Amino acid sequence: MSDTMTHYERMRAAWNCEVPDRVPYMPMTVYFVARQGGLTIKEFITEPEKFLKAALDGLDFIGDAQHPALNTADHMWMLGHAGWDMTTLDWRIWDEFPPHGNLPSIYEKVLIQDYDDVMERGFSTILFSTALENNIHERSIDDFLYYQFEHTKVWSSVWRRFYDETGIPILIGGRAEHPLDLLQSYRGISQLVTDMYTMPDKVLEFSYWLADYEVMQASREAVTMGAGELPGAENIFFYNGAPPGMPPDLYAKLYIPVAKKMIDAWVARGFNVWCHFDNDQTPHLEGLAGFVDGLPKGRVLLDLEKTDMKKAKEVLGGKIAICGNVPSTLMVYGTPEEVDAYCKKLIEDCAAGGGYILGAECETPWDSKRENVVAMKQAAEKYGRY
Amino acid sequence: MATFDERVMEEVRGRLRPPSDDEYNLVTARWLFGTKAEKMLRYAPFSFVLTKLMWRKGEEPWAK
Amino acid sequence: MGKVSDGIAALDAAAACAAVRADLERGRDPMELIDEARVGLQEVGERFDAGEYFLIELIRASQVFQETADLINPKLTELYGRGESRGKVLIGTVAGDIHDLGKSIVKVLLDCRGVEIMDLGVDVAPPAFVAAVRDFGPGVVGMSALLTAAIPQFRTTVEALEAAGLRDTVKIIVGGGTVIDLDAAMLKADHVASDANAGVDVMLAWLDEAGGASAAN
Repeated sequence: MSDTMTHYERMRAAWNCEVPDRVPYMPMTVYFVARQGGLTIKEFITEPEKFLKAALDGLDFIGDAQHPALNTADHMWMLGHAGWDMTTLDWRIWDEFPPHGNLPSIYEKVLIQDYDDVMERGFSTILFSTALENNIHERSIDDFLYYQFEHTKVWSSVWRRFYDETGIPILIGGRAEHPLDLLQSYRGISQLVTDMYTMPDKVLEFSYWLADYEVMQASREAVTMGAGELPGAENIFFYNGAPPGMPPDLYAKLYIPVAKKMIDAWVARGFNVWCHFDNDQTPHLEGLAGFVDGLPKGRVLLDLEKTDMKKAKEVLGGKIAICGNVPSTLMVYGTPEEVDAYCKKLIEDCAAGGGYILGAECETPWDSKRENVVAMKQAAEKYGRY
Repeated sequence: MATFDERVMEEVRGRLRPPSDDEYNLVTARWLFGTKAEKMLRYAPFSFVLTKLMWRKGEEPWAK
Repeated sequence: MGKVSDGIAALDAAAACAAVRADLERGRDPMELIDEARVGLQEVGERFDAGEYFLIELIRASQVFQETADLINPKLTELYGRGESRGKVLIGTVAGDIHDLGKSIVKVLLDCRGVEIMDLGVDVAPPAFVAAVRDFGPGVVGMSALLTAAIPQFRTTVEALEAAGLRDTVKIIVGGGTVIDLDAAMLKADHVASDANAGVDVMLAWLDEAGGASAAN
């Protein structure tokens, strides 16, 4: 059987928890595509044209599951370009892939000493704090202004061309992060844990304060990227990385209400929300189910990393579309046969009735075997027919 | 006849309420200047100069 | 279990510390108190293993334990001097990775069991591991990583120890989110830990087997 839907049609059907022609697949292949295209990290983040070529070349083995937008908005944040929030974190960015360089990483440190102080004075001082060792003070004004206001537009024009040539939508337009996730970087995990137990109300107050900015800048970014004109740019990538292993009571008090408020705000403004989760969300599935309360259908997607996907389907099926979770280690160290078997099981567990997108656990690692990525693509086509 | 993609884009355009410049600037100013946001916006562009006053003594990047 | 261990097991810092202060005032043996605090932490570890407690609660428990230990330790040193070490463990996150959550938990769990620890921090290059093994003389080396990109570094680090002639002086354990499905032999390690608690149990068994003396000294 051959495909009867376009990629965008198939994705929209899945978001809507409706049955598409087959299971769509969405391995996040940002670094992998760059690596396969022979680019350095610096090249793929700062030179859109080179990345466009790598993405077009990748069509041969990744097919229509390219993720142009993830290669842009979501990864410009590391340079502090997409949102100023990232400029206040201690990002380390290398030019090259390992072994000559490394993947971008945040060094956690106590950058925020006092929540009240930041709500009083704002982030302006932290933005140029000497505690940050990301050489931000050495950037030129031209550099700042270009990356904040112009670079996104360059990427947008590149991905419009990509869509015109291939018919493949971009999958996100803007990005934002859950405040607790940012707080882990601003306070360090150990200090944040202390805060959550000793001053939970303050953490919550600060999270709401920070959420306003996250909602606004992601919306703005999605508009710049072409929401309403370029398919997929209407989706906000809502990153939820941390903290790992929260107990359900803290999760219900500090995580869920803030996330729900942000999701509601985006949907009210007309955007869709792709919630990306690191860590195991199995204990919190009931809470996540409430994300769509009061919202029109098809506006929220949950992309789950180490979660029990069968359980997720049981709890969320018919309500919210889910995506994930082929393990990173399998992509790097496994065989195509193992990837095939894992994907087959995922499709059996999650695909019935629609609302499932086959995807990698977080990002498809940069050093994945090409044949494993191909195996995932083929598994969706082989086992995912409705 | 409009394609699927065109139909959805039309629907999205119909429901989109993107932030206005004023909304965006106010929220960004709050993020940057906290409770001083409204004041800093009112006196822009002088507020960029006044930013220097937001630093605590000894913590400023230029202190070293 | 007493009020101190109950307080720790309930993650109630105020209750645990109040109980410690009251007991010290009454003249209770600080050795008994620190043992009771360890029982409390042990209880948390068991509840974590049973799936009743979550990772954040394990971190919180270690913080509460630390708060009680900070109250007890001065008294302990005053009465008994420095306690005998159960052995030495060297830990670090391998080159190319900066994740240290699991490593930090391992550190606290080992610390409360009387193990002497040297923590090399994150993004530790193989030569730094080699130098530290030579200088510190640990019985066990624990390496951690979360990124798949860092996995080859386990092997590289072990090979550096081999080249320096130090491999046989230590047992090597690796841990971290992405390694749990991997084979120890593939990484040239002696053991792959499934989580912090399980890893600590293995390390303690090794140290006790070696009689508490560090292998290199």
